[in-house]
Amino acid sequence: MGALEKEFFNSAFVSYFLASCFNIGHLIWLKEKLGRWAIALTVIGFVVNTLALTSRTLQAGRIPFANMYEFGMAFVWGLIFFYLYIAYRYKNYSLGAFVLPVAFVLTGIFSSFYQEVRPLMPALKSNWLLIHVITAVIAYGALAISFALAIMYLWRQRMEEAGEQGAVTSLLPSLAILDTLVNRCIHFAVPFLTLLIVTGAVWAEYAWGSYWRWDPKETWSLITWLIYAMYLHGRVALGWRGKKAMNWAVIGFITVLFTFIGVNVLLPGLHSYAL
Amino acid sequence: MNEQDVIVQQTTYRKRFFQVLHIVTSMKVAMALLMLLAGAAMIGTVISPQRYDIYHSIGFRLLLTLICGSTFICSMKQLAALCLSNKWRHLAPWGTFAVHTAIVLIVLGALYGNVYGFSEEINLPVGKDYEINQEKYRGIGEPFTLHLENFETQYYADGTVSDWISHIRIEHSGQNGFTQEVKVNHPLIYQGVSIYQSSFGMAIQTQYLDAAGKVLQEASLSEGRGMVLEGDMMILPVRYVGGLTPQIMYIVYKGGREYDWGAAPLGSSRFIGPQMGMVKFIEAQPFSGLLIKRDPGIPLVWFGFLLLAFGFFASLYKKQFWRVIKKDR
Repeated sequence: MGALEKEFFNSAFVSYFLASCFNIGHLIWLKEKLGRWAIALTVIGFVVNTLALTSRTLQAGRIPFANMYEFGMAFVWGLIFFYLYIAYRYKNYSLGAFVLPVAFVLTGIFSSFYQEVRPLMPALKSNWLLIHVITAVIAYGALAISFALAIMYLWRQRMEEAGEQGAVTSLLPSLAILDTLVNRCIHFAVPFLTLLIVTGAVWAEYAWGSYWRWDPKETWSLITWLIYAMYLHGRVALGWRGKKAMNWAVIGFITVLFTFIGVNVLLPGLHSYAL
Repeated sequence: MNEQDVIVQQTTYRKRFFQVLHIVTSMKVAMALLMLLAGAAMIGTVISPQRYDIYHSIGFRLLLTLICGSTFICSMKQLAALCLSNKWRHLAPWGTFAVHTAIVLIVLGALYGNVYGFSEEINLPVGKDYEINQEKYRGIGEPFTLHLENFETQYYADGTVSDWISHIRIEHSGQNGFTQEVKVNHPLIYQGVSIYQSSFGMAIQTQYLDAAGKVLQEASLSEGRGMVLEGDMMILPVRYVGGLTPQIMYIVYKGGREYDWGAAPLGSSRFIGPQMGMVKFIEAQPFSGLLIKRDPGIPLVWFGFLLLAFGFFASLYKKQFWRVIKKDR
């Protein structure tokens, strides 16, 4: 069962890699066929990702949210789910050229944290685990999408400024739409990001006897939240649009990644069992 | 200066005051404060708290106070704008107001808890009592006693730890006590005092004696926690080994370097090097490390959390997420 799950996860890794290549190829050569292959590979990757999660759940006899590897699988799954949903609703799969490379790189990073299935350690035996991790998947998933959209915006803008007409301008949504979508994604994510911190704090009160200890994980989650708080204020009160807003969206997601992965690797604290 | 001039002077002062207030409470200043807070928090995660605890420094607290003040003024402005305009029927501006109010409430709750609460870690050996009373902790009503009946570690089938459990009996004068299991994620809450399972180990009663057997020093140590002696020496019990004759493995340090080591059965003394005294481990008892805590700010903080979550959903989910997508299609 363990070997099978690893195979599923590796297949997802390969599928996401190939899907990234086909997606980017589609943007460069504008071949309709490449685009279709990219979608098919993404769906295959999503299916094997689902199978990997399912087999892990069956094997562990619990929801696979206990360490970096398990959460990573769930996060990438959520990210691809968001992408497929948006792409389907929007009938524009060009976002894939930006989301799939992110999914591929993250899958690679998370597979390096691979661990055999182990029962839950005492600190994680709580009902808060489920809600805490689900809010993380939703918030981080939506923010990953906002990051990919912001990169699309910056790329397209660069092309337009250079006066280049081509694949990018014909396939990518307009700058105005991208700007709005980035904003929508962040608006969608921030309440969940808040819930993520709040559920973590309440849980910490029951598990460690303090809802806030300035543990590196807590502190970095606050920093991430502050960055998005600044984005929201800049947008509403200071009229940030376009490049400036996009840059904040990019910085925001980089802090998300640091909070999520960097802290566990570089700044071990109370939360370090998640590694 | 005649009366006219005084009035003019006063109005200019007032004007200036409002000008300054306007600048101080402007969005740009608020943004700068948020940026400073994020920056200071970042620096704090890099510096080790043993060297410098940035989060409890005066500067950091001042920054938090300023942000709290700015947020409060901002929320008051929002409230005024809400009441003066016809927007009060909409949910979104109330959401924004709720978020700002919630932040102030959370900070106030944390402050209140810090000032009127307490938090202390104790090592309670099995079979021993610990009294919680007003002399030790503020805000305690009737005193009561914790009695550790037993401490156990439970394992899964594969040998990993499933739970650390303290069986604690609460004894309250004039009343029948009750026993409860305290484990990680399941604190015991009694009369507003929470008791958490925090750590565990062996309490090792240790004596340092001279060659004639006279006790020079005595302390209750645990595995990895040593006793400092005169002459830059230290005795460190490394490990308790159970069995028919329980023994303590120990290391003696001199000037920060390993000097001697050995194993001593409980109750018998051992010389630690030439022309030195003796070490004797009297008894070893398992203990449970408990965190005893009272935080009267919690209800306010929890309410703030609820308000914060509600406020965000109300203010940011005002429009359908997909409307823009549909429109574009």
